[in-house]
Amino acid sequence: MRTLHFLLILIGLIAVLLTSCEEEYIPITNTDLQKIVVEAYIEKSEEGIPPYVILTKSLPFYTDFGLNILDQLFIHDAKVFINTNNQKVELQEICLNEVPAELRESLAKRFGLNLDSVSVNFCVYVDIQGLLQISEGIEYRLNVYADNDSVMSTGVIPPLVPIDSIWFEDVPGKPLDSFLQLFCKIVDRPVEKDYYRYFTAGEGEALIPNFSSVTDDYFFNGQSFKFILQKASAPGEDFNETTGYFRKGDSIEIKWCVIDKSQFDFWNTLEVSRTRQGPFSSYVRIDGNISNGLGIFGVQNCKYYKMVVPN
Amino acid sequence: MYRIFLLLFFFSLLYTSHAQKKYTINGYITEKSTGESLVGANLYLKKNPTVGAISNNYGFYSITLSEGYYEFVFSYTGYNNVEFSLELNADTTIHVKLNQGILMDEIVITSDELKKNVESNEMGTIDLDVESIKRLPALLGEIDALKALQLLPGVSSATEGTAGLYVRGGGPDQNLVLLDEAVVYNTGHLLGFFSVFNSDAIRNTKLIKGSMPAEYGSRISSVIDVQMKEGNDENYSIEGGIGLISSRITAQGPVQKNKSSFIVSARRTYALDLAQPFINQTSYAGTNYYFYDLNTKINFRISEKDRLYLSGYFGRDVFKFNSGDRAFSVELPYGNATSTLRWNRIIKENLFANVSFIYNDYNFQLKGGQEEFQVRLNSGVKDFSFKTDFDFYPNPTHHVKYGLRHTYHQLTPNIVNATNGEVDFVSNLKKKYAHEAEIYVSDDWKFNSGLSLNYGIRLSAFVFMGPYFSSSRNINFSKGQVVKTYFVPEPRIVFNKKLDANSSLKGGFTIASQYLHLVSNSGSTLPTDIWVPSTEVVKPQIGLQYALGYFKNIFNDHIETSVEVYFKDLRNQIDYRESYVEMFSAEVENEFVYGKGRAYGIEFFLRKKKGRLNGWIGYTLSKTERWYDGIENGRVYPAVFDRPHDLVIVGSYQINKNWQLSSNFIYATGRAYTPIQSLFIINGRPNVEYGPRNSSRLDDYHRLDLSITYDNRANHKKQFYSSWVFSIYNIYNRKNPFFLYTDLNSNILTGNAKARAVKVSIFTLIPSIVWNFYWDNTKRELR
Repeated sequence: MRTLHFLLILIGLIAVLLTSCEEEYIPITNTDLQKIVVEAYIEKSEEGIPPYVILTKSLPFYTDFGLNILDQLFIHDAKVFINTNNQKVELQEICLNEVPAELRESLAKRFGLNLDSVSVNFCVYVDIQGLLQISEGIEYRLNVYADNDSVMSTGVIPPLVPIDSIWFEDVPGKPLDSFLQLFCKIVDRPVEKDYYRYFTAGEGEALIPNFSSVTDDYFFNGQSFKFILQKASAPGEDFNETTGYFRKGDSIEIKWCVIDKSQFDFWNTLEVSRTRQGPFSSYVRIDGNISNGLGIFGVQNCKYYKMVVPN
Repeated sequence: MYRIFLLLFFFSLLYTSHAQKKYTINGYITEKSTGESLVGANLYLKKNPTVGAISNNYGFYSITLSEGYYEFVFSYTGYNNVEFSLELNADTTIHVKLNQGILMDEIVITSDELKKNVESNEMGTIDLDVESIKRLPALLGEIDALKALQLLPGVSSATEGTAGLYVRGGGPDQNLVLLDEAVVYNTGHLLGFFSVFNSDAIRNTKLIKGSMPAEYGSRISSVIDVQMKEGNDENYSIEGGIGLISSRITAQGPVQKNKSSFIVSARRTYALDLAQPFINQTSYAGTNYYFYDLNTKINFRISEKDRLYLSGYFGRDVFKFNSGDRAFSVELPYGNATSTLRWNRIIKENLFANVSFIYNDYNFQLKGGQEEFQVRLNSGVKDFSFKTDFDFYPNPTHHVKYGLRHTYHQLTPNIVNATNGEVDFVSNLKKKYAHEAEIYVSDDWKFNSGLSLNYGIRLSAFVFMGPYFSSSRNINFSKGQVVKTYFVPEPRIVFNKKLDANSSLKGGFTIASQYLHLVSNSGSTLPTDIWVPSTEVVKPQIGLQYALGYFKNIFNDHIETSVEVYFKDLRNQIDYRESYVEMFSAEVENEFVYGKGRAYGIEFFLRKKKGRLNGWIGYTLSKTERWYDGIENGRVYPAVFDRPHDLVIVGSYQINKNWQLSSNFIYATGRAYTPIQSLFIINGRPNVEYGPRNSSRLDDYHRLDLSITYDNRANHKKQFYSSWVFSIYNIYNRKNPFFLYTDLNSNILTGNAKARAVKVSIFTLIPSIVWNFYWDNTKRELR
């Protein structure tokens, strides 16, 4: 239903842009208020991705993010722990440049990166040894100590609600011979409130989320429900007639996750914040779950689906 | 509550003075050429101008005097006086018809009209007649009553070019907007760029921004009382205009001369209609946008004592978007429909009654989807109201008003129906129902020649009914069950102490309550904003306003001036919680936070009504603040519409009988907004971390508008004449920031990402041209 607000903004913008002019400016930001930014995930899935934490600092507003700025982005030498009632695991920092070349591509892809397009020395804290036991229903507590500061968060992995069936159909409207639209069906749990997020990857691409990647089960609670999975667009990619569709013959991948409420709130507010702009919109403060910091500690139960788009 | 009302009614019915024999003269004051009622017209004794009366909202006057000989004067702004003498020895009914003043010569302002600034008990009240509004330069040539009100001190707009109003620090839902006594819930077309009021159908617009009289309630900030014309009961006429954005036409005339009349007025946009042949050649065939307004009214003089009126307003915005390539379509129809059936009766010579039945329907819909995926959303408000008002004139020193109103509200939250072709979904959110009732009594009392009071009280009650689930009491209330009742007494008092013949000191205190709320999550009100009732969770808003002013006329009453200070204490204010995003799954009241507000300021006003050159200067120095426990731990922050400095200069100069020049200059402190504090990276992309709410300001706002009007009315004996209005909005092309946006759509990790922050200005220098025409079946003299 963000579409409704988006459409109203579209009407207003049509009226506005007929007689408008733009002027770039640089917001004055306060560098003294720098915060620790956490992007952390614990994922239960058959892929066996280890828990990881990306630690960065918040930035002043720059118009050009060159390497000299981005090299200062990552927080190094932090102490990062994930605890449960039975375990306390410290995560180790690894950076892309330190990883043997033959492993870099697979590692990059695991974190949703296309190695060819990554220029920075991407660093992440990982449970390298796979010590942390990953189960549904267990509370995980994240604690980070860095730069004389600390942040923390908690999360419980929800049960998996897998995709029940998945198939392709012709695109709606104007026929596109080389593309198909992807549908899936799930059977939602009747009592509990469920939250979902999905990622898509085209041929040779990394898994990335769409601009509207999360939903709750309000419209289909406890029901078998069919909906469309749109192919995600990379940042900066223009909208065109094939946006959202999959090319015939491509090997694609879908990552389907059940997430908790705090992660749903985070992505929901973040995605609306990106799209809600204009004279009739007020700001949306992104609702993270990092105490004393910014970002997300996301616990999720995921399943991966690989398939070839039929010809 | 109703027993008090009955007591007042029977008292006024039975009241007779037992002093020296007294008799009443009463009647209607109307415009001679059209039969339109004149509201607020003056009647006074020529030899003792302090004794008099004012016509009420329906043009009725009444004055009770001792038996004797009197010379009466009837006057009204822009009209020639009527005088007559009478030996008053019986109750007498005299209907008075006033002629409009001569167009070219000095506008006829009688001295008593000019003294109204000093002598009336009204504070913060301004009447804007349609002719004054039509003289103002207008954006794209579209004359707009609500935008004209924005040129007054203490009134500001939400955003550039929009018709939403913020009055003395109050929110847009805190203004009671009435059209012929019907509440108008959504006052804007095209997201507020144009108001719903067609100026050709409007007779008068009154703004009360302080010291609201007891007959008004349900909102805590201001009253905007718009009255429709009644229709010319003497002659037929057709008038209209063709502009760049819309065109309008109005037809009026007698059904039976001097007995009944009608008026029908319509307006419609057509910009995208003209482009349809081109749009239909593209994959967006069927995409269109337009809005229309239709005002209708008919009235009957059933007898000397009885008049009946039936009026209606129907307005709609229709947006259709169609993408053939994607088989995607959406429609957004929304609008108001109001209907008022009104009966005026002169019960006895000094007792006048108005009885109204009002129906009101504001509805917003969204329909759309792609192939089997379809969504339908509905929201709105439906009211059924009954009201009755009495004007009782026991003697020349008292004018007692009393009345009651009862409204049955039906509010529809965002109710969603959706389907994916296999599963149908219906939202479990339920409509909300409530009864709202008020009685009031007030007295306008001329204590002596130097002191007068307007004092009164309004008692309001609100009953919220089921269906409703109370999570605090864990009770499911079925339809019709009482969930919560509120009762608020609202005293009102204004005093006027005359200091000398040309100056006075006025002060007032008002308590007002509000039971329906429009909580907006945008920078301006949108049709998607929903009205919610007070429930057991949502408390009524309460507003206390204190005002004190010094009013003085100078240069032989040619210039009226005033300085007014005010303080508003706003309680139970409502806003959305931080990080709120519309989710149609949630009961919206669970997303609210509650707090308080205050607004205070000083308004300086200088106005010249007489002469070739007239206009006004208004300056307001003010502050408007809010604070909520659930937002930044109760930090006090400026409201988005806080404008510490607000200066408006409006001028109009009649060059000769055909040409008139008008100009506005506006200066205001930049709007408060929530700034970007930093960026942070998630998923390789920068995102915005916002700083404290409303802690920054946009650049100050200022612009100059100019218009020149050529009117050939004075050249023509014929029944048809026209005028051309050429205007330039923002003549020196000031780039006032309208909104800010950021473009952060890049991947940081590529090493060459870009981010942009942009200020957008709209309505830079905009010329426009409008052609207006008028025809009637009378002959006129050359002027």
